[in-house]
Amino acid sequence: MKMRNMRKLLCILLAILMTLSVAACGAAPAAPSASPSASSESAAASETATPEATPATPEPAAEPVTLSVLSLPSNTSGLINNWWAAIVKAKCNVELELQPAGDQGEQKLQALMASGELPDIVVFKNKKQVEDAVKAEMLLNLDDNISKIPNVVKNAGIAMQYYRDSASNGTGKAFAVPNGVGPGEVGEELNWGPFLRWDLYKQLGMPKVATLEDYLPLLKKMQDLEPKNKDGQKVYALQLWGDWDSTQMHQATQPSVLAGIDAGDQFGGALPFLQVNLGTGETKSVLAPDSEYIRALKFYYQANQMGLVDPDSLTQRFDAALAKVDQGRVLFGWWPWFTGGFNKPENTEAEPFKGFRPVLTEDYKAFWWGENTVGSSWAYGIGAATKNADAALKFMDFMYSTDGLMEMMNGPKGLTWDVNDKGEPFVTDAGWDIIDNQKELPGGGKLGDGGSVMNSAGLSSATINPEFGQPLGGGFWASSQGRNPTKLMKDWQDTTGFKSTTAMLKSTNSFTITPLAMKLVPTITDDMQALTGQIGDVVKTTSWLMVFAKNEAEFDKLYKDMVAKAEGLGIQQVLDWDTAAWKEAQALSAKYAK
Amino acid sequence: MKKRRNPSETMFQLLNYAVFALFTLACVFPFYYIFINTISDNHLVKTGKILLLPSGIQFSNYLQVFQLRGLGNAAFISVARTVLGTLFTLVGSCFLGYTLSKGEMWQRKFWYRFVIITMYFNAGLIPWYVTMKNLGLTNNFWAYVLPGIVSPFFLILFKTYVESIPASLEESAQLDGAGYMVRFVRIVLPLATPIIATIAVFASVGQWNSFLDTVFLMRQSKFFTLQYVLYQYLNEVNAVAATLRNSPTAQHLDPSKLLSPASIRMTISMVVVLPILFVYPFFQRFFVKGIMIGAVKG
Amino acid sequence: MLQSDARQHGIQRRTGIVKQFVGMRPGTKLFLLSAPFLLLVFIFSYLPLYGWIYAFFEYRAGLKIFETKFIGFKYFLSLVNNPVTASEIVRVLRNTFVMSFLGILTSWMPVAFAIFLSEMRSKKIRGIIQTLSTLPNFISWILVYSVVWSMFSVGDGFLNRLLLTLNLVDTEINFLASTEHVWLTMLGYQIWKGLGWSAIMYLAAITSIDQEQYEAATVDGAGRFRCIWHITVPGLMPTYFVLLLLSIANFINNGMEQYFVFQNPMNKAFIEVLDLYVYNKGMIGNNIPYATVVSMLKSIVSIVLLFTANKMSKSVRGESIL
Repeated sequence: MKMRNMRKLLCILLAILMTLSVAACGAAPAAPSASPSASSESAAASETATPEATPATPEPAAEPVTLSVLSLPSNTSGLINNWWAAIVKAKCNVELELQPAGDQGEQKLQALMASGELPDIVVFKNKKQVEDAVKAEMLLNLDDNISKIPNVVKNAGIAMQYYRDSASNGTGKAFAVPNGVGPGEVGEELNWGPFLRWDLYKQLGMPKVATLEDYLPLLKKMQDLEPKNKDGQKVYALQLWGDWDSTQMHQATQPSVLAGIDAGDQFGGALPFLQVNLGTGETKSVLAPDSEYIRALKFYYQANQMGLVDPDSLTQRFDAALAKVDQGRVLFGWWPWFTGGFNKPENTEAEPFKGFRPVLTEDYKAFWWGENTVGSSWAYGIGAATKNADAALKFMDFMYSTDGLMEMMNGPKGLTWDVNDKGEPFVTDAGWDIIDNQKELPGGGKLGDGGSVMNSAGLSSATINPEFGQPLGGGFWASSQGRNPTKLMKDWQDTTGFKSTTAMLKSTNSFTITPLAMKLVPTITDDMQALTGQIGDVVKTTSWLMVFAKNEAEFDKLYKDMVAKAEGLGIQQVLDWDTAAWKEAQALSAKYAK
Repeated sequence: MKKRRNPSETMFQLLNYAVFALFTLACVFPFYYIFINTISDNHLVKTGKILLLPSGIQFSNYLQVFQLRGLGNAAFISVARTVLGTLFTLVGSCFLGYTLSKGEMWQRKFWYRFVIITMYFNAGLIPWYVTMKNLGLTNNFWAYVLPGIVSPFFLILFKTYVESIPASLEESAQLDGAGYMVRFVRIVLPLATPIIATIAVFASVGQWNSFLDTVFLMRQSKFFTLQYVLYQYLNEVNAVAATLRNSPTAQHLDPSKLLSPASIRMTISMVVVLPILFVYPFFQRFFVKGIMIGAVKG
Repeated sequence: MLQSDARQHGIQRRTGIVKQFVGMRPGTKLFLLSAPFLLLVFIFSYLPLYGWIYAFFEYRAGLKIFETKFIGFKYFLSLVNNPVTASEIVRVLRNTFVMSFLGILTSWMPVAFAIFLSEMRSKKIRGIIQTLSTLPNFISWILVYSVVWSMFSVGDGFLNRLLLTLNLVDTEINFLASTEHVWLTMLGYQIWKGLGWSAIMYLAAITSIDQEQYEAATVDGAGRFRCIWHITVPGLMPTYFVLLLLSIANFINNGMEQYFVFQNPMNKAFIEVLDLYVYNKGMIGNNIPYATVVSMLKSIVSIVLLFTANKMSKSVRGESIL
């Protein structure tokens, strides 16, 4: 397309409009040229302001470089101005200007790529985007600048190699580096349950739960014990919601985690419709009659038959379900942050206390994230067209440095945290005050507003900082553990004899460490993606109908319909692709192990 | 209308008022419901207790929104694009609607169709963006204004209206030697105030409400609009839930944020709609039946 | 009709104009006056159409189009080449047609709304109603859903609580998950949301009707309804028919926001219109060729419908609108 002339054309056009004297629009003709000149000005200013040259060059050197950033995970935009921005400015002489993206990030990225230019820094949300950008030659070759990013090389070397091998369009060079490199984040408490109302469970004499289905009679008894909340609203043990479904019913992909099995969702949809046992590596179709997904549908179906499922489930959204937890109208949840709304002091510190704690099955094998040398599917890249390559590299390196990330995650050193005589980091009193009371930091913004700017970090927060021998994230420091237990927590500790859930699980070896292969699944092809969307639409809709089937016969009929339709659309092709992809990933995992 | 005082007239008026009152009530209640939910105690709102009357009145939802960074500038940009965008649309669409209503225009039928069918085109996001970028309309305020100058829909409304004005009015001016521009400004525009007001209402609401052009075309916060800032705020809240959904083990998220999307959405909705409600009645005085034609003819 | 009138006037007055603009025909002059605006239309609406070429290539953003693989009509065929997909498309088109048809069937309502509103005697009340009836137009569909949900949901819904207290039902009813009357319910929400707003154009159009006609008719003894039927309604017809024609062209474009927020597994079979179906397949976001194919087909169908409807209008009413 010959679009170069368009600007001229527009100017002429506006001139004609003017002569028509139809509007007093004196400013219009000047406008189109305003933006390019403004940007070239800033570019010219920043070219002279490379950080290396800082002490030598005269006046413009002190001027910080403004980097234009497109971060798909981020939810903020504009010139960043808070306590963390001040740290970045001080350390890298860089200011960050985030481009608007909102929930349109994917489209915005495509639009920018189609126009032939990416901003200085891009945070991609999946590997396919990186592959496309590399193919279009829009990313800076990091290997040409490898001396400028020592921290990336030191802390994320394997991840970089993985991208050299698989996201370089065959060149073997690194064009992007994945985020979240490092150990899995397992703290004192699991981020996965299930969580039940501990007070009711104790009242019932703590019956044993051998396996998933045993929750049903237990929940029935609990619901009979507490049929209404204190406001007189009806209590239902289970809440479901549909707005989180992608290609399967999201809630029905959760129960399999108990057994350390992925029922098609934990990979983030990387292996659609494939059930993977993360302990043994075995696979099968999620639609097989004995799959964990169908078992989960049956579980919810039976729960519904027993009157344990809120009838609103079909029509409510996630926020409605969450609000019900808050009101004490729910007895069961898969995650601590879901049930956390009820675990507030007015319940956990009451006499008698109320609240949610994990009640686990005897065959419990839920997974913990393992050491992740290749990082998450998110990645940093630098636009090839950047005029501020040195500043961008410096900032990128900062995002992979242990010092930089400790301040991003925990706030400015000396204010919110510090190091004691023994060389151990600890959260200061001022720090706890800021955390507990959600206070603003000097320089603006709350503690979480640092990390949420890019909304991604080069290293995982459980990465050990060799300087202190402790993880980066303050939540994992020895000094932060076991602070101020609630009545509920103390009771749980007294009853079980363990200090924390993870301590309990470690003692019985009841967990599955996720294999690295999980992160090495190759990018899905366009055709498979298209097919997955079509099949997924059938699967998720029918799944819901199965859960709310009137009787066993209807359940079975719907199941047969679903399988027939999925097969008609070609689910076998997807499964074949999955199986091959999973084998490939398993074969690769030795290569990228630590 | 002439005043007619007879029983059937009274009956008619009563019935008419009653039906409209019912419908208006149905229109107002949901709005009222949203409003009282934004000013009531958030805890009561969550328990679904606010139905007819507000309770535990507070304004923290609004305060939270009004504390958003850059809101003042964003409001200015929004007003600027609404005013300028509407003016330009009126000039472009009405003038082109006028010329296309003239039978003597060269290839009139072709050009009319040329404009109208663009209503059904959708080239897609990417070619649109590339075109805008090549025109220099990224990170540029005029990107809000220029693309909307000719709107086929408004053009149709204006053209249809103009064609219903008795041709004799223009004829007399033409006989006096007035050209097209003069006739358009002196005769057609004054007669067309009701439809101009209508188009102004439609165009300004469209300008006021749009935010996707900001998402794609703008880079610097000085061009952000009010709608965009609010959209981003809502998005930030929604994103917490989305992150949890995608990686259920995510640490360091503030689950308290999870509880607010509905009330934030309601508050934003109020902040956006209230200005429209205050401006709209101003346009309504142009909707008075029949006075214009009478005045010109008299 | 109007056209030929105007053309005659043009010819009649040729001499007068020639005096002012020597040698320039009025048609040319009008065209020159319009040209800048037509150019704008070309730039902003026609230029981006080059993107339709993506439909035929395995295009990904950032690549040069002719370096990507030519795939011809692959994505066009993918809409119908599988029996399961084909039967889905039939169902989806049924929903689309029903919703559009219902929309067209009720398109007279804003006209009636405007007529009766303008018959109202009190100017003040008229203004208030005019403002308040547009309110629903400004409430986004997702908020409409939260309001509707709080009225009709099972646990706390206003209606269920009322029915229970009045002992009209024994168990709560999940109205929103009902499979019955889905189309009518959706239509109801649409009318509620759009009626007051769409009536604005007709309120404006009513003002263009010559007041003298009413006076003359009243003198002749015509009552209110005869005045409405013989003066107001014909006066509104040009606007109505143009808008009707435009909505016929939009037959396959229902939009998806409303259907998206109201869909659930129970009503999905009835509620899934074309736009929503394409969205639910999850392909619009990432797959540029597919998205292009869909929007291209929709544009073409719309334009064909527009001209067909225009032809029909010409043969039925003896008047074409385009």
